[in-house]
Amino acid sequence: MSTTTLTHDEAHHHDAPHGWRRWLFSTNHKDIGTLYLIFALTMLFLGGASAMLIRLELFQPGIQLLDPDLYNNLVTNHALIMIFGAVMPAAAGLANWMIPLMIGAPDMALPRMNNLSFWILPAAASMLLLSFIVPFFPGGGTQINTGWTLYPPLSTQVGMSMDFLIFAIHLLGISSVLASINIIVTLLNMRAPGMTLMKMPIFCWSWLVTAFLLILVVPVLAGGVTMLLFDRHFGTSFFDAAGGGDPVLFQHLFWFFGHPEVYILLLPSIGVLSQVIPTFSRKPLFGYHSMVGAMLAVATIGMVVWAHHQYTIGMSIGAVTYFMIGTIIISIPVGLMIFNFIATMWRGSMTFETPMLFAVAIVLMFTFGGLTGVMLAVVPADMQYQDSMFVVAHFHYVLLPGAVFGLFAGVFYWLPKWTGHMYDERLGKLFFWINVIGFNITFFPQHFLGLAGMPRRIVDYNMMFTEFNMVSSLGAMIFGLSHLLLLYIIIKTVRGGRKAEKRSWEGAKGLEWELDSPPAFHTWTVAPQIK
Amino acid sequence: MTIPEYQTPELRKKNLRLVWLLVGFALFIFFTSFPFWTGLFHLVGNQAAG
Repeated sequence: MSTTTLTHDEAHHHDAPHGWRRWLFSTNHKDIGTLYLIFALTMLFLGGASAMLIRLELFQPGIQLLDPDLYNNLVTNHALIMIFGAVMPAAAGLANWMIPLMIGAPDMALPRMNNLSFWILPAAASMLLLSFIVPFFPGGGTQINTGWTLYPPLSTQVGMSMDFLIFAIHLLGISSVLASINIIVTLLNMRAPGMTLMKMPIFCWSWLVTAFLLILVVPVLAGGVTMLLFDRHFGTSFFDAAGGGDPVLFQHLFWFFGHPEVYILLLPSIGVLSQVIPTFSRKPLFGYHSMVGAMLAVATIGMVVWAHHQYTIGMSIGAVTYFMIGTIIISIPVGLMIFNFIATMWRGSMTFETPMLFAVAIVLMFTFGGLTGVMLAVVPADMQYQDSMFVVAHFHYVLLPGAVFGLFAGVFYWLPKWTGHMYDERLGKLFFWINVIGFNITFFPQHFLGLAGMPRRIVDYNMMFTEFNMVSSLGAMIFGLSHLLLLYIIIKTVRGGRKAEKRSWEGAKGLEWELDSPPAFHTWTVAPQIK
Repeated sequence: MTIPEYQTPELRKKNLRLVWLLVGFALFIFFTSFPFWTGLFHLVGNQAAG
């Protein structure tokens, strides 16, 4: 491949392998990005199916479909599949596709490691699914009924399915760390001449911060589950009180990972919004520097407030006060991001294509989730809310708009660039409305259920909670099934449609919009000069 | 799979140097998580008890 004299036609066809080898041995960032996105979509449907089963069971009181252990097994798997299988790989898919295009790099810095990062994922997903299935076979042991937090002593007593799960977490962790290293090296070493760090698109900044967060916290989770594995099989007592250990130690290890993980899921979507909102407001992003500062502040403070997930374990007054104040302080940089988005839209020439609809919905609904987050951060209030459906409603309002809707916005925003075709805007808007209305019908009533005292992670409930649960379950069916429309829109766009221009959106700015839609197999073989 | 031409020896060396630094950092956090967290936990536990 020539770095200087490649024609457009050659760039499309030269070096592009065919058949299954193209995907299995791929070192091309676009192909690997596509693989990540397909994998994430598959896992979204698996995780979504488990969520719909959970909501079907909760449609009315009593035990209808699922026995208590299977119910908790589904709750565990739903969370792990959605977090590790759907949201993180989807964000990695966007990063793979877009980062080299945005910074003017020919590919990721370490293409072969990129291939490895992806292909570890199907193996990890198989382990994860086996952890769900194994208990149904003779000698398979008990089901995983711990929830995604895997707290001991319950997790040390579960059967062999827990070992599959621990192995899956190790593999997922290795994949995440390798991908993060690749992204950091690409962003620091591969930018086009003239593109300083403070000229990078915010999406790239969001991934730089996310990648550092991943490297800082994933090894701690790996350490925690390794200690769990040792307690289960090698006679250690890290978390066993009878042997001098303490199960609360695992909670600290888990949440030292688990809380920053929330920002790992959120920040890439914040990056997407920082591209989408200026495009459809036809204005530059308001407060670029403060946006970068806010992301760094969220990441830094987010690392040191983990124990707000553990207020009820009996910490000292000083400790809970520190964690409460720290947690509430996070709302300052998060609020700054929201104000920046609103200020960008202010007096902009706004249009409401599907990505922008999702962006506006995120600003509204994520802010609502943030407000219930402040409620939960206050210790005396949290003592009442903890382990109730209020918490379930809160984190779904944070993670669905904050992470998943942001990824949807990104997919609709860049789909014309990836496929070379404009998606059907009418269907896109229909998907948005069904999706968002279904989401709100599902999760808004859960606030009331929680405040009325309905506990989470229990298969049955008191008769007094019936009506709100019925509404929530009906909403979940609408919400879940709406994703079939997303799948249809994506397939339809890949197969054909109105030809997308280089600059698919009138207000779009950035290097990625200088390239053909779809871009050539190899792009930026001659680095662009940034002024 | 061959090394693409855009990966000049200088760039490749620079990339790999940063990779090993980051790998080392991740391994450092993994291995220190055992003594660090058990130590911190006991320290805080002792202070709360005493």
